[in-house]
Amino acid sequence: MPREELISPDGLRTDGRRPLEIRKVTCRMGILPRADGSCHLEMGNTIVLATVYGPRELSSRQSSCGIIRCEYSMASFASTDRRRGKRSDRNSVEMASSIKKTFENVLLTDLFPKSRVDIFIQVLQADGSERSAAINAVTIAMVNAGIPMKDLIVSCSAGYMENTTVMDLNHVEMITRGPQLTLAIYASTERMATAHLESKASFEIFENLIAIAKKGCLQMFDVMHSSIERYSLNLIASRDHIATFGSRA
Amino acid sequence: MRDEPLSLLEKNFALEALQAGIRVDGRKIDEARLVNFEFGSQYGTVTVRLGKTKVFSSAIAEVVEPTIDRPAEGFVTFSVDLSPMASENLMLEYLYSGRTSSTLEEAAEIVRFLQQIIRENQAIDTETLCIVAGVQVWAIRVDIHVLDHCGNVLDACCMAAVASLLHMRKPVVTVVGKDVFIHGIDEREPVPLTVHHLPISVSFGIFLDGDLIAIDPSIQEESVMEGTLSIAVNAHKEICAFRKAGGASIETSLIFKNASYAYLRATEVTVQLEKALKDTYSRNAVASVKPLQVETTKKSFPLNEQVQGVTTVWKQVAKQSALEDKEKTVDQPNITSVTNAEMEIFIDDSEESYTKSDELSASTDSDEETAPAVIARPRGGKGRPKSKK
Amino acid sequence: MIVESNDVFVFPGDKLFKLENGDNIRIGQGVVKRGDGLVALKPGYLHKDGNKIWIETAQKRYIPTVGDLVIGIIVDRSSDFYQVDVGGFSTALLPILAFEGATKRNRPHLSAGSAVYARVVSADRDSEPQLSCLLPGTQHSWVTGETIFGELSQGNLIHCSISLCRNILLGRNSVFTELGKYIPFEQATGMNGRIWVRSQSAGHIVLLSNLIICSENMTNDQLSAMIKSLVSKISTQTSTTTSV
Repeated sequence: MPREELISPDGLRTDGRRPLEIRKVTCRMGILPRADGSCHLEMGNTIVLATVYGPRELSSRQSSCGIIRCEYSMASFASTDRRRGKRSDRNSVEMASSIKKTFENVLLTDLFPKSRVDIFIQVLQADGSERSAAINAVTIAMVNAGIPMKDLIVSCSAGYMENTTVMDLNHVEMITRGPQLTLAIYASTERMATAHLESKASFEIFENLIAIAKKGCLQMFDVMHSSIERYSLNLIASRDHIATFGSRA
Repeated sequence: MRDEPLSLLEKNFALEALQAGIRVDGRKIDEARLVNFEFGSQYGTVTVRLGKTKVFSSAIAEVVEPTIDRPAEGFVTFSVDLSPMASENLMLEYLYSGRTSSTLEEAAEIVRFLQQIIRENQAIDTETLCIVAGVQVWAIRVDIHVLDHCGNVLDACCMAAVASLLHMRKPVVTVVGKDVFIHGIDEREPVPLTVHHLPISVSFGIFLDGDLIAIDPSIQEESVMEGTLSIAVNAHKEICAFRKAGGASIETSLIFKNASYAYLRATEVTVQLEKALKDTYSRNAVASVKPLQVETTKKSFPLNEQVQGVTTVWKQVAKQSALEDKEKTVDQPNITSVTNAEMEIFIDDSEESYTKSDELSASTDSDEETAPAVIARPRGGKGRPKSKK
Repeated sequence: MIVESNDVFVFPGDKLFKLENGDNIRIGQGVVKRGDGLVALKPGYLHKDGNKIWIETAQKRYIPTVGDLVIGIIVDRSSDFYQVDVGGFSTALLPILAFEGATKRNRPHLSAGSAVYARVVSADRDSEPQLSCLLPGTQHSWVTGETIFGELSQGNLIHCSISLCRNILLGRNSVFTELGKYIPFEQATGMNGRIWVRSQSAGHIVLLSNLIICSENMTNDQLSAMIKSLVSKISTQTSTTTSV
């Protein structure tokens, strides 16, 4: 079976991007009025909806700091392969627990003892890099909910194929089963929060993947940062505080 | 060890000791606990001990229909049972979360990791598991049971899975026309699986807000750590999986140092695993069985060379206690040995003074060449421990 | 068959010493009176000391008994009591004023997770066991930090078997006397399988903790030989580790 070429002789990827180019990212915050924070994030054709509720009262167990709960699910219509969403709950549990642990350390949970924050993530369209899309969406939803955070977490994936390292993989690139890494870093310190490497890679490729993914994260951060800024300024403008903050806009 | 609530004293001390460059159990920061592989009499069964953590794994093969999109490939599936018997904390987890053992977060993570390092990395050749393309293939099921949860269960589970896949045999199959004959074990010697490489998982605990990373955390350290870092490496110096699921953030530059530690540890474990396998074969004297050869650099683990003085003695002591409780019983059949055996009472067959020995030894499994007569409770009727099944 | 002698391993159901009319006998753990005789309830070594009969078992779960010295871990507190985990079937209660010299205004404030050394003052089948940090006859107030009972600070807590604690407290295990010849340290042994140690450095505490646990399966002679050889090694090693 002749394999589809992932990188053309001109150095372009299947969707026309260059290797070190992320997809178009658009995000909308606060789209669900009932949730404390919500975000609809599109990374190319990957669409993720994240909602955050909390901090709210925790009834069952007492704890000295707030706890975080996370649920991740993929809509059954999210991918071409309809079974994928249902196939195993385990993947979702693992994904949810990894996202939960990522945010456990960045949220200042000791500020709200005996309470909890719930995160719900729904993948509406899966076209690769769902894990990083989910993390980015949750970050923005957290910002939207106004939960105190040490830093922003941004995530991006990187993969190695046909002797090239590319960032922000799409679905076609993901199913090649080549070495691929999803990295999440703290935006300001650039320290690693979460990392997942799938398929084996030599030490050199791994090092390369981390460097590229990190670059991708920073690109992602620029986009997220500007959309958060725009959203916040719009909010402020709509509340007639433009006079005070106008100079920044 | 019984699970007890840890006091602040212990938690603080674990950190204090780490800061001073040692661990609560006497190890150094970059020193992992001892691993011990014990293969069962049945193909594919193994008990792995990592320090006090104990994991049992068994692999079995069954004939199933392949999927439509991959008609010529077999399956390798995993299940991890973190049963409440492994620790009291787990029991509480079940009570509060209302989950079943397979959907427990920790279990799901381990299974996912195993799928990644073994299935997605093609550690087992799934194409050789095909019997008749599109009709019948072998499905290898690896069931892992965590018996004692004393820290770093992930590594123990991964080692157990790899070891039982190495040790397991699938029956020989002959296909004549459309008929498939599966030969029994006594008819034809079953064949081992095709193993391409051995991914060994090495986990690190992250402490002090990401400034200190220590290999192979024990249960006391797990209670104070701020995240883990798991790296699966094989003897070809390939990273099969890298996972840092949240927790405290770390400098990316630190990772490469840990990756090379992981590689050293993985080579050490691989050598040990092969040796254990070889010993088992020579003991069972199965002539037709060839132990699998995996390239390894024969370089000894430099971390071990640093261990001198006190730690060596502790290692011996730890080794002693890590070895079967039964050995102690043989050595010194007094109250102290009974202490270790807990509610199990170990009885040495040779002691004539023991009046009930006749009735007890009748139920002893004679196949177990190394184990002395291990009887749970004489009055209980069925005295054999479950694990022998 | 009736087991009549001391220090014999008995099984549950074994008949023990035959009782004569008018015998005044106190039975302890693992022994019960059935009919006109005594029957063992647990597997272990039979002990008879004067009119006291009990069985020493290797069980892990601690059963609170009046007079035992225990190390408890504070789980929670209410207005009058601390709830303390002693490893028993339920948490024990420690009145917040049960410290030497404590008054409503001036009393120790323990948080969840702190460890206390205390005495079991009541252990009834139908209620939670009660602890106390009071020791009649002492002059010291809890404030001075010189009381025997009270909060344990710094150092490490070791979880070990109950029989090891029993052997240490009964003086059968000489680990502390041996260690004391070489290393200065403080310790508190609880009957509930917990030992607290404090020493000058983390390295020493680690050494002590591991030696104590190792001592369980060693004779006193082996123990003293091992400690001797270890201490000579550690004196050279600590000098190197501290310099790192």
